[in-house]
Amino acid sequence: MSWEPRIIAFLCNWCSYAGADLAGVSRLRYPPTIRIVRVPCSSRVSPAMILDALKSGADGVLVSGCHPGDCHYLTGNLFARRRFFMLKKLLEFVGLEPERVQFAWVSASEGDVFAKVVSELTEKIKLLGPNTRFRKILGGKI
Amino acid sequence: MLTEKIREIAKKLLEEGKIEAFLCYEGTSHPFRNRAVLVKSPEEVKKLLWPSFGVINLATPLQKLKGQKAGILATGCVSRAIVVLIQEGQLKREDLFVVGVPCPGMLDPSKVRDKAPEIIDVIDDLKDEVLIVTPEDKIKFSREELLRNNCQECRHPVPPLYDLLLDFSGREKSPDPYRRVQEIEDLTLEERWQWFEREVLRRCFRCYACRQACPLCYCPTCFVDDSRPQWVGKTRDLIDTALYHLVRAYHLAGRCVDCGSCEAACPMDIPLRLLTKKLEKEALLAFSFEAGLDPEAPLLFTSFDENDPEDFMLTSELKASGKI
Repeated sequence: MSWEPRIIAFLCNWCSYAGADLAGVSRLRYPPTIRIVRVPCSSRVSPAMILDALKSGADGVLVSGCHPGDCHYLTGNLFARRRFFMLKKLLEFVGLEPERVQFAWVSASEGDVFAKVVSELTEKIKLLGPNTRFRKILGGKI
Repeated sequence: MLTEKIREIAKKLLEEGKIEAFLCYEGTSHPFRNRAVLVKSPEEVKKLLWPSFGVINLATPLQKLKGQKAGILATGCVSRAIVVLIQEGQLKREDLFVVGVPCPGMLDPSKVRDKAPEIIDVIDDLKDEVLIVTPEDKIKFSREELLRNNCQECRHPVPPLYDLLLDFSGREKSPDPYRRVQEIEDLTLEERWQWFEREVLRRCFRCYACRQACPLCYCPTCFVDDSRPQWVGKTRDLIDTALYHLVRAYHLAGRCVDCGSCEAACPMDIPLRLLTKKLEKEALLAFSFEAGLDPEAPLLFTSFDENDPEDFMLTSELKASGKI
């Protein structure tokens, strides 16, 4: 059986989670590689959560929230955007493949965008292969 | 000269009762170590001196003096750390009397120590030359060569916040503050990972001295000590060390004033500053933000702009290539 990546997706309750739901209700096809964690807002996601997912064996992490201006809490995603920018620069600086940690805006009506985001991300991570650098390897085995 | 000025000011302030205590540096029995000292009476001020090796930021011990009216000797980075602490509500401006010094830069003990097998004294003219005194000889070095890395790359030698600024001509602003960061950025991804693994992860044994020395790491419970959830494992697995260093640097994003205390405290000489310096560079380029210049200004992560960069996001990339 070919290797399938495992991707942890932190989706905001108000837009992206509903977007994922719409993708499902609309019967859109996308790879079964993601495991969704529902969070109240994209700004709830701290870097420790992202790194913890990678450490625990995820091959990629997706954080998705509302489009700027659509945030349920008005400005949460705008704070999040700054933080993720800095985090991404730092991770690239120390040699984490930039494709592994991704951020997206998906609104509740964009089921098709959600499906596309997951397909593209899965493709990118398949090219990279399993996450070995940022994973805790117990007993030297993956 | 600077030493005399500092003693004079400290004595005057203590005698006039403007402050209860003055925080500065003193000499030690070691020729290239200075340590922080708190003096509470005018008689004690003879202990004080200008430290050529004052590598630990005085804003770190300052936080233990909450509620006391304290004077402090502040170079550019100490003053900036105080500004960030005021912005974050950790210090009160009215409790402080800041004696600013346009900083001539400080010497790096780890650069001095290898210059001779035995060193009995280091004479620093605070301008161009340093004399290293050995039992046999006096060896002359250029001051620039022995300066700490962060002093060579200093962007703000003059304190932005002070009550009184000593008359002294310090260093100029560094023309090329991000040279060392650029060297790492120019490597390939694979090489950067090897650099991180070799220079940081394999050497660090997680004594957390960098966290203790940092003036801005003041959380009562640090995320590394959390046990539920346990973000950082207690093993020597590289990922646990990586997680500590990355989140530590990230927590200093937009706050770090590049005082170099972390690097000075590190027993393994890990280039910790490069991680925070990288974030400082990104904040400056992307958001025109510099930490610790104005106590009234908002912090980097408590503010935003509608036009913040977005091209790093997957949806922007897909949109640009017409896929969504």
